[in-house]
Amino acid sequence: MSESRETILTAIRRGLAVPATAPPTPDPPLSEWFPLLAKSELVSVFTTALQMLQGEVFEEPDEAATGRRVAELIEGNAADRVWVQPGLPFPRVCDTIDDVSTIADFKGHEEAKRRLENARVSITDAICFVARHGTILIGTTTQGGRMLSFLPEHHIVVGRKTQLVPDLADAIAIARDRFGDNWPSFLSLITGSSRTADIEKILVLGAHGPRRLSVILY
Amino acid sequence: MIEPAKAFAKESRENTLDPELNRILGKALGSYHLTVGQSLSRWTDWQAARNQTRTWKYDAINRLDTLLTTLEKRLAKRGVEVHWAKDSAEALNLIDSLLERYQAHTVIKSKTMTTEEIGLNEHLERKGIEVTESDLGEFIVQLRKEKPFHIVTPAMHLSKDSISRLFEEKLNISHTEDAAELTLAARHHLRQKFLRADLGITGANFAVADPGLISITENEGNGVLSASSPRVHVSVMGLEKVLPSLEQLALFLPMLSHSGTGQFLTCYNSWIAGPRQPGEQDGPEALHLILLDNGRTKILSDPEQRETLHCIRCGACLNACPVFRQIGGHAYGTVYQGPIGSVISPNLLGLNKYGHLSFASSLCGRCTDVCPVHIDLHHHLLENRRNQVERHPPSPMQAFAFRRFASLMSSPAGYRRAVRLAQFGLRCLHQFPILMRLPGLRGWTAHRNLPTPPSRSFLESVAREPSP
Repeated sequence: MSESRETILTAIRRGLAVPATAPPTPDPPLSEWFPLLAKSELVSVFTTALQMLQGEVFEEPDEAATGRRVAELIEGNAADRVWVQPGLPFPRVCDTIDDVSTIADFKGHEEAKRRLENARVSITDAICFVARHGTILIGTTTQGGRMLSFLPEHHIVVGRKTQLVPDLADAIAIARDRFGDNWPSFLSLITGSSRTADIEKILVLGAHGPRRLSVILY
Repeated sequence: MIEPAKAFAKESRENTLDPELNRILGKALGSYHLTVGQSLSRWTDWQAARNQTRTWKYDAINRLDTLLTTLEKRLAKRGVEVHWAKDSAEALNLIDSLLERYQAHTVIKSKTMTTEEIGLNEHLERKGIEVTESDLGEFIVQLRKEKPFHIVTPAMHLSKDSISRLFEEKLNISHTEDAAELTLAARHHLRQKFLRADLGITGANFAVADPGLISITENEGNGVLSASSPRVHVSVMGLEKVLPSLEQLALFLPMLSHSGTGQFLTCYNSWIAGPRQPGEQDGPEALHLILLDNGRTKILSDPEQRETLHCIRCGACLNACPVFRQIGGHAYGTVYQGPIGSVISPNLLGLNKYGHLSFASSLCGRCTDVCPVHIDLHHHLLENRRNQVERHPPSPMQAFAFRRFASLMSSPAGYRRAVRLAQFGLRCLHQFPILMRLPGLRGWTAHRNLPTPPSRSFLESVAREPSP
């Protein structure tokens, strides 16, 4: 196996010894790929972008109201079908929904699969929110694992408005800063509800990931 | 076994004359072009953006060896095993040994062209391993025992009705023409496969040397679940996909989504940097990355063709190509279709066997116009043609004809003579239509209407107009 490694690397180095014509340098290099966003616009741009992708966005005045909104969204589900990220950093939210949800504190991968297989709702926070695309950055070490945000039918994300950033580049900078050398095994940029258009280009939600995505910001 | 060139000619002709295929292609591609057109307004300067990605890809490919070794080192630190596969056979052997090592009998896959390249599904099925495609389009063509029709939308050629009948038969559901219900049936069926599979196989759209991860772009969520749910995750990735740093994905991801489907960003763009790390709640116990060569280093060693390794497999050139529009994806007979397929397949699989693909083009250049990494696709088609002709010189007849053509076109007097000859020829064909059946002409006239010979040539019309 490592023999092929040497063969391949040698082939590459030999090939690259003959230079290919360089493309003209982008001149001047443009770093604003999209129109600049003002800080005051971030919430509205995020909301519009995510709503266009059939996501729901709720703005609340404070954490207590956020808790009540979450309770409203999960109403009608059995507590063992509603899973909350362990250590969700919103104590008032946790208090409000304590009786009607379960903490997704699993002892291992197999238990996570078993318990989440028929999950209806999951509630997590996020690393940050990208206004431009209506995107949510989540990670396995910060949002209670990988499958919590993907197996249930309804994913509810709770966050502060201060977590909003304009662009992907900003989200990447935040991730770099937060994780440094301790990069988590899994990060994902979630932009709307799971979808497919593989059948005659007809848009259908809920292909494999959550069909419903709700974001609550305060 | 029918020769690829003959098969291509036959299937192209059949597909072009198929009204149902024409309708479906028209609808799918029309919708794509509308969406992409609308999305263009989001960008301040898309042309500048693709010039930037072109430069970045050039830099990456031209230090590919360093990037690959850095990627390998960083991934290894997190427990990823990186394998190097010289060709299909080696990649399949590697996967066999992994299946053996982990005692895996069931495999769930997300969409990846590299596994098509190596013929993975057929290989696994022969060994009695259950392999299920989880991307809805791939799942559908797998049930039909067909090849994908298009690298991004595999079931593009199928109507709702045919899919419904397929699911009735294979998934035991009652008849429905509702796309949502069909998708839900697939969701339920595949959810079980995700949760029970021993091993998950994905590809990767990009790899990033710093901090060392692979990036998977999708809409359904099947990529995430294939990578996260089974005990073992195997990713098979073309070795040309590696980029130096995560920061570049801030541009590459929206460029891929825009050109691939007209979306700003697809629903899920995931960065996988390792198997489950200590302290993490869930995830696979092992991650194996297979770097696939399979002819890529050969393309790299040709400095003219090296640029074709910049491709990010978005499918935009397929969607733009008037040839693809008529003949569809299957007619190419190769894993990679459309313009990029016509450029790389002869170089991956042999100019003599697949060179005809580079000739099956009007060189309109639309592919080059839409490429998000600004690959000069139509010129690469010309280079392939030149290479093929150098290797397999034309018949004396053809060589003579081209020499005459060149001399006629090289002087104004020669050109005027050629025009008069053409006028004469057209009038003859009109007078004596039977002449159109002549060998040599028949290939052209069998599928085209004869234009009415104009009374005056363009030159003559212009000569008669008074000067302004």
